[in-house]
Amino acid sequence: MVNLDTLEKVEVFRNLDDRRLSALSECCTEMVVQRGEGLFKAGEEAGHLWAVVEGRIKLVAEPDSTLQEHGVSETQIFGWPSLLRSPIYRFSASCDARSAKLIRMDSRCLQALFEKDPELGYNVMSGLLRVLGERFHQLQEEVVKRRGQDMMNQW
Amino acid sequence: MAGRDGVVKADVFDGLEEEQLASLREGFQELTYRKGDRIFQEGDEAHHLWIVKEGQVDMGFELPGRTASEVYALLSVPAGKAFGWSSFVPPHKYRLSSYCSSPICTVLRLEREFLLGWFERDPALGYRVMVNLASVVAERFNRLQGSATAVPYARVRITVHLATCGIAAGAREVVNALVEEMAEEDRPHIKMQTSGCIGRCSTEPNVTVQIEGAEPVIYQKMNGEKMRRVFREHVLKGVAQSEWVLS
Repeated sequence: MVNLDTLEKVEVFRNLDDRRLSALSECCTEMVVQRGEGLFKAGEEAGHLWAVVEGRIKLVAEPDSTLQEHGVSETQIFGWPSLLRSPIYRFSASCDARSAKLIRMDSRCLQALFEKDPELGYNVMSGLLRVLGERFHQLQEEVVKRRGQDMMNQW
Repeated sequence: MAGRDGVVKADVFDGLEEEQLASLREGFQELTYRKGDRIFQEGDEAHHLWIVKEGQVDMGFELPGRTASEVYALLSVPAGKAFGWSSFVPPHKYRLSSYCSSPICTVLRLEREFLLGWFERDPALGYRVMVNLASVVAERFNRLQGSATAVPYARVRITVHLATCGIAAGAREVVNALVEEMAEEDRPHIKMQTSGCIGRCSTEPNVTVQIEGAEPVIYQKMNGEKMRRVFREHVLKGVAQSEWVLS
């Protein structure tokens, strides 16, 4: 169980009423990790959605490339494949602060809840799509900038 | 895609009942574009979700004074796949331009407001479509990220010589194999085209592989299996298959 005040700040749970937040909290546990501690590795089965309450988490796909690394901080979620059609983590996640407080959400528990209350499922997945879309756009900006620079260099 | 019965079939509608799909008929328009036609432009208000019914659509960015070109393509969208998901993400503006990159593109245009009304009436359906749509975006995110730091590819043009003699000798099988391989790899820098006879009817089906910066290679007496090997070894790895080379 997780405090509802904490849960309603999570970017995909905003605007949900207490009844629904309370149902969601049944799928959640809070945990604290220390700097460098790993949460999961790329390629592992994605069994949990995660949210950052305090601190910062680093997501890494491949080393030595800035485009392959992302930071996730307060109220943001990560581990989104856990709710999608191919539930495999694409990044490795580790704590990137002295310590980080997290919410870990069991994806099967969430999916069962969404099947039972599809309106909740629709709202949360719409929020997830928004988050994914925003992060896609950020990545796209970076890629476009790089491709533009490559082209300028070719001229 | 819309089948003969008008039912829309696409990745974003996976798992829906035939009846639910049939109810979509009222909400889409079918439009046809030719190669190089722009479907929408970066910055346009995003009121629609789109599905490729036939052909291929490239998504890319534009530079002032330049026309559509594969140089700027970031992603390719084959038949049965959706694009224009920015219509569901604030500020509801397209962030890339889309172009028809095959000789003909048939696309289905779905009104966002129609879809939202549909989801409100049936949240279970809305939930399923949102899972599919988020899965599509996640998959493209991974693909874009994977390509972002890769070494830029040389442009490749593969020409299947599809005159009567070539068709009689089995060129259609070659085209089908090539289309399948290209769809699997999904690399916008590789383009396929068809052309007429090169005057060597006895060696048909002929295929020309032209990799930017290298001399074109003409292959002879091709079939589906040979085409797949040429694609994997020559086009993707740069190793010409000398045993089948005509010139």
